[in-house]
Amino acid sequence: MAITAWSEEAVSEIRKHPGMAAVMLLISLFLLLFLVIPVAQVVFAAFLDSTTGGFTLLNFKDFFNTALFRESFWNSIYVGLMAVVIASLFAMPLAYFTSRFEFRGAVIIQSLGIIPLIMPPFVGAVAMLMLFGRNGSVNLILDQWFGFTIPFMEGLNGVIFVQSIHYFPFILINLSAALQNIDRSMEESAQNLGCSGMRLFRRIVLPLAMPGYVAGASLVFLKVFDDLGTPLLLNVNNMLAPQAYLRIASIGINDPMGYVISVILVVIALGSMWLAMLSLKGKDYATVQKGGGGLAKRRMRPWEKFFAWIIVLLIMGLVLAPHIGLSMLSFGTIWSYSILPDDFTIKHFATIFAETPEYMTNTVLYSALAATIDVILGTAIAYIILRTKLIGRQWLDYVAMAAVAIPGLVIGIGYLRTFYGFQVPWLENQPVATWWMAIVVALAVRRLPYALRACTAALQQVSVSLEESAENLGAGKLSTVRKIVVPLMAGGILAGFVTSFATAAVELGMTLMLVSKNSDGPLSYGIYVYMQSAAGRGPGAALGIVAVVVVGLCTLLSYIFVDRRQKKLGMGQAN
Amino acid sequence: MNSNSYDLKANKAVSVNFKDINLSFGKTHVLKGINLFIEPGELFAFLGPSGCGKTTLLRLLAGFESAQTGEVIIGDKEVSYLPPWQRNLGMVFQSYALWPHMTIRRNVAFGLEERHVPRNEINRRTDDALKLVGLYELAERQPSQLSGGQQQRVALARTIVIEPQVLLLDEPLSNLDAKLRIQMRHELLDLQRKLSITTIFVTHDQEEANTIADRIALMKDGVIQQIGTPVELYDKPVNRFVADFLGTANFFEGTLEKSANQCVFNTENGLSIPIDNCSNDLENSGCSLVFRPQNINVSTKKLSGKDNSVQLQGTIKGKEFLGSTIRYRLTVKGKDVFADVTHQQGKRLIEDGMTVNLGINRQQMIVVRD
Repeated sequence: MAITAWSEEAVSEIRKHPGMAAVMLLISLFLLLFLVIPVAQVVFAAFLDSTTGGFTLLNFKDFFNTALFRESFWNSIYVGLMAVVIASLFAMPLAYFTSRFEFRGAVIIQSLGIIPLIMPPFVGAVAMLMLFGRNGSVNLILDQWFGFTIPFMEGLNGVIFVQSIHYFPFILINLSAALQNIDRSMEESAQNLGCSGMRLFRRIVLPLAMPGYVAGASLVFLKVFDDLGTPLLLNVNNMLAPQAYLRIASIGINDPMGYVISVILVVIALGSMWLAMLSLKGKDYATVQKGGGGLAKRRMRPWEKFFAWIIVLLIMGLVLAPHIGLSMLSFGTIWSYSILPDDFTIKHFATIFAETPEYMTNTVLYSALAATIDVILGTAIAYIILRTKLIGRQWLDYVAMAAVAIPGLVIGIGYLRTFYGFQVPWLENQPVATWWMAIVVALAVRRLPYALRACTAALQQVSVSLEESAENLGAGKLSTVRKIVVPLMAGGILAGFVTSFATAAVELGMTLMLVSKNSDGPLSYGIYVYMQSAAGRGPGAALGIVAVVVVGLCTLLSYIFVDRRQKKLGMGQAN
Repeated sequence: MNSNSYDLKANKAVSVNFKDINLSFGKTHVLKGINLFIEPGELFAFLGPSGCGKTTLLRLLAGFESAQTGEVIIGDKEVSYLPPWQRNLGMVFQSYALWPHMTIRRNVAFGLEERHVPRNEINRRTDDALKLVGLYELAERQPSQLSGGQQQRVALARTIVIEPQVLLLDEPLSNLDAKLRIQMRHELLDLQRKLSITTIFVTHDQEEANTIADRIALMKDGVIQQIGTPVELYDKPVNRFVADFLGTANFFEGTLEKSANQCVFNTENGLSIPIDNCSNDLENSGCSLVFRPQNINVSTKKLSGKDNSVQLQGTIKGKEFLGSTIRYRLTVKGKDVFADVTHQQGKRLIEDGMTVNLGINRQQMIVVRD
């Protein structure tokens, strides 16, 4: 009985939205073909006995019996955890200053929360080597003046250092939001009941802010654990992601170790997300009531202000270091064993525009196409999830979002495994896997979660009654979507497009796997290729500057556009 | 408001008929066997507490919900399977649902554009509708620049401009402040009379329904409890819920006992009250005796029993000053009872703790099902 009622409902829902049901089917097929099957192929290959073709755990046994792999495994875990610790050290005081005090540096702190994100860590990695390496500017100064050096960039330290500077905004943003969402009355009622000072902080403020911190921290761990570009550029190869890449690149796509490492990467990534969710279970506090939000703020005492500024400026220096270093590298002539480059020039920029403009044009083409696919899919999925009751819509959401937990490297390997055997019919000797459109599709799949989140948030802001009133006045479904829904979602769709575009423009792990010839390579690939040699560092850094400028400008422009639009529509208050 | 297409409106109002409507959301049975006929040109209210199904019933008529069983008939046409955009019903949403990316004029013109009405006619009718609600001067503004009351008028104009068969209003006044609400109430009534269009509005506010509706369907738990004019519902409630929902009422729980030519209501707290007109079907089932506070005669002196009234004694427990009346809270044999006494300047209030005599006319006491 229950089953027939259920299926009856399913059928009637399909009848209600026949167009959307068809769209949902198409999207499901797309995700199945370009996300589920490639990842499944990777998992399958990891458990495949290469001689018999049967199921085996031998590959995993081999993995853990090899000293280098064991070392890489623990190194990756160690780097991930240490990056969380260091990033927390950066983020916590900053979040505390802004939420607890009337602090003039709050604007700077907000900017600090954005600046690192517009430069991918691997781009700044070499620049950081120039500044903080054994013979970098900082250690040269320390050595000259104080006679000692600090091994910032030695081995794993370098990866931890670069990654924590890059990713600490995730913790800062989440933690600040969580602190700001604590209603003042929570604090005041505790004070009213006799609790104050550190005790108040420990018993009320910290537990309420914990979900935000854990969300940010797990994201940092995930990102650092999966990252391929930074260790590769710092020449740290005894970690998991570089090992997977090197195995596939040097031995070939039939080597099982690449797949085993991929499976381990995915499992740990999913595991850390799951742990984060578990620790947050039932703790999703929405505490802001109507009226005032945020903790009570007070003015800083002079000595507090002094220390706060020192900390803020120190962190600002670190955050800007990759940008400064990269600029100097891109404009410098020779920079070696010296605090500053010998001289400045623009010839590196001339080089990249003259010799390898395709890196830039490819990036714009790939990212724009991928972002377009993303916002179309994102809008459609958001509509299906929020506005229909089609059976399986939740699964569509889960699968699309799962791409967050799949490292780009793994998707790249999956594409090679799945599509290498197929030829593009109208091109000679061109496997589908390494065709440039494959890069576009892979980028789109990988960045879909960002666009989907933006589109979902945008659609959530559009009250259903705005659509219903259009239908009531005679507009059909399609007309309603075209004239009401999409115009009202425009801001969110644009935000989704920019996020997808900007992050796709600097994706490295996946492009390294899929780019078969230099002429197909995007910026990130170009930076990697240039940075391989000392002579290429200048042009590589120049490409990096181009990437940062493109990403930064896009972000700024979309922010301005969305902000203006929101003000013009008076959204947020009207509906 | 001079020569305007709305002045010359021909009366072509239609009826609305719900037949055996049952609607469930998953396992929740939201509308249970609704049968309701609304006369052409009526101003009809769906009244009830939140969650009673009144909004769902309205949305079902508009085509946003679909029922598992039953028919919805407008005029003489069954519309149960028509999508919302083919029903030609004008709905004003609780939130007004003005599109923030369009000017007031474009909001109002939208329905006509969807109907592919010629441009010059769109302009004329849009102007007329805006003039009708007195917002012609603000036509080029954005919705966010308007006050709540103005937004409501735009929503109304946008709806009536398409000349809908039936006007649907979902809690039309709930987002307005108290004073504006009363003003808009009268404007709505005037507009409805002027257009003579069948109008249905949903409200949880009994005062709102009582003041403007021709008839009311009072709902609870997905069931229509009673249909009737406001006076019928107030004076002749069919059950305790109806009596309790409209105005203030006193209840004595008990059982009805019928002898040869006399009914007696035996209350749980030991009173036996003779009843004038009682129906058979209430015998031996749980029921209540209902009487309104304003029908109680409160006196510190002994009341003469000759006016066919029931005599009770009660003790004053407290009082509320309501302006025109004083509402005394008394206990009568352990039951709380409210009694209203007209207030006049200089009139002495009765002290708390006093025992007073109460007289209630037997015509004003009725027995209802629980």
